[in-house]
Amino acid sequence: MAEIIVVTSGKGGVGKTTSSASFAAGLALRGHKTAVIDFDVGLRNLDLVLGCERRVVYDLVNVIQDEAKLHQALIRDKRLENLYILPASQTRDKDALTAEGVERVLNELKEEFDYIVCDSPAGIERGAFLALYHADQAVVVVNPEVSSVRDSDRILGILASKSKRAEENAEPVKEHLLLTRYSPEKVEKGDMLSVDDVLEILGIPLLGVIPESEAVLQSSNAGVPVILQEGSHAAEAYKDAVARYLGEEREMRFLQPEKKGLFKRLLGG
Amino acid sequence: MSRPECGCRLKAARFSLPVLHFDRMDPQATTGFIREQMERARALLEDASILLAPAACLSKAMPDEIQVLIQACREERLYPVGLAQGEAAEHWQANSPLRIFHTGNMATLEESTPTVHIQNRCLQQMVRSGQQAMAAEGSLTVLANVSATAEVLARDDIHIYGTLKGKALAGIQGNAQARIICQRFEAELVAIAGHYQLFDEPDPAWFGKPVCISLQDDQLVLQVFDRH
Repeated sequence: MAEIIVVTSGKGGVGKTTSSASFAAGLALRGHKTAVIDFDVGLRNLDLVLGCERRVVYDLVNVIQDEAKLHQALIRDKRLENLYILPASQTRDKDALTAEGVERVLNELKEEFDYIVCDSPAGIERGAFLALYHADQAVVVVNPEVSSVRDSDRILGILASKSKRAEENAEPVKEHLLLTRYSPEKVEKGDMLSVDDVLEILGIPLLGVIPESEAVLQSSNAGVPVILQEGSHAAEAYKDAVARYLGEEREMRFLQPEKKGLFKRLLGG
Repeated sequence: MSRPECGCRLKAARFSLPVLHFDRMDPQATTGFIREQMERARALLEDASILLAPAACLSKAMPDEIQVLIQACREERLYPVGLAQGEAAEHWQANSPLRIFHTGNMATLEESTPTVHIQNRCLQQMVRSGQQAMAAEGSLTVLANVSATAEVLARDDIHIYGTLKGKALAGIQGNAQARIICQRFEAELVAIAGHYQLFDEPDPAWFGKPVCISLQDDQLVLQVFDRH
């Protein structure tokens, strides 16, 4: 049975799209057939982060409005055979999404895929609501910063009260915390909330901590999900998070400031 | 107010009286209405004392008109003993032997009514930012945290077995005996029976401590449970 995962945060700019791309790519890397949907109608970005922006012909809104078939709109990733992207429309706005249309698309995807990752837009308006409504599991992307934590708390409240599972009194949506842009150096100096601070406020299980990394920006600009940047800490952290999601036990890494060796110090690194 | 030596005592008491509302000076119509009601509930109404509640538009009724109306009621075996509060009541009091009955406000009435349905609520999950949890009919217990900007409200007490970071309003219908008790107090605001206090400057004397808040002489009192 396919599982629907919403990647959400409330606040914008915390790394939802980056995390959706890497998380979906990570699931595909592990051999699961995965579709990732961009719900940010009007401000589509996921296609850029995954490097398929020049291959978009039809989009989510076209499928919802019966102007295209689902498999015409799905774009198969060139690097990962198990990864498919359903892009958002750039010329429409979020009102073009309908609850019935989204449900129909998700049901159709469920027949073919193992995991469906929904990249939610920021905010708590229609687009964000439709992205989380059908979710079985939620990955809440949070930056170690008070306004991001507050907004995520709000989103968790909405998941618990307005999702389909909440409405039907089914088992609640399973929540996971993904802490991104984490800088152990800043935490040590007291300039950033620590993992424990965030966990104390949100009270949901920790899926992973992604360290602040140059690689994230570079790979976004290059159209490669950061999880495919071999050797980067961010890629390793995303792989850990995916493994934990799939039930593996992995120790949390990159939580301590990097110890600079003698060479680095001499070279002023 | 009691003076046993003279055998007299003065005590407040409540009575329930039927109130006759009317909006025109028409003794015939009024007696017709009274007869109709008598037919339905003679046991309840015959020889009963009643209050008159003239509508606001009758604030210029002539004294003899008023007298005729009172007499008409008496003839139907209903005895006006006073006036219900209202816009025309002052004028009627000045022009008739009837006095205004002060009924008191509804809030005190409700308070004195014994509550039959106490419905306490217990929440297992966190009350998150932007959420509101209410126990309109009793006390509220939260077994988790109440996030910043979240609100918990209860007619009676509020117990929080986690951290209270948001707002807690107890005694929302005026119960001054209500209390707010929490395991870790980091609240933004608390209120009991409408008396509220903001906590915009965290003070180490109470911040993060187990606390009980009550209302004493219209003042919120914050009691910290020290763990010695």
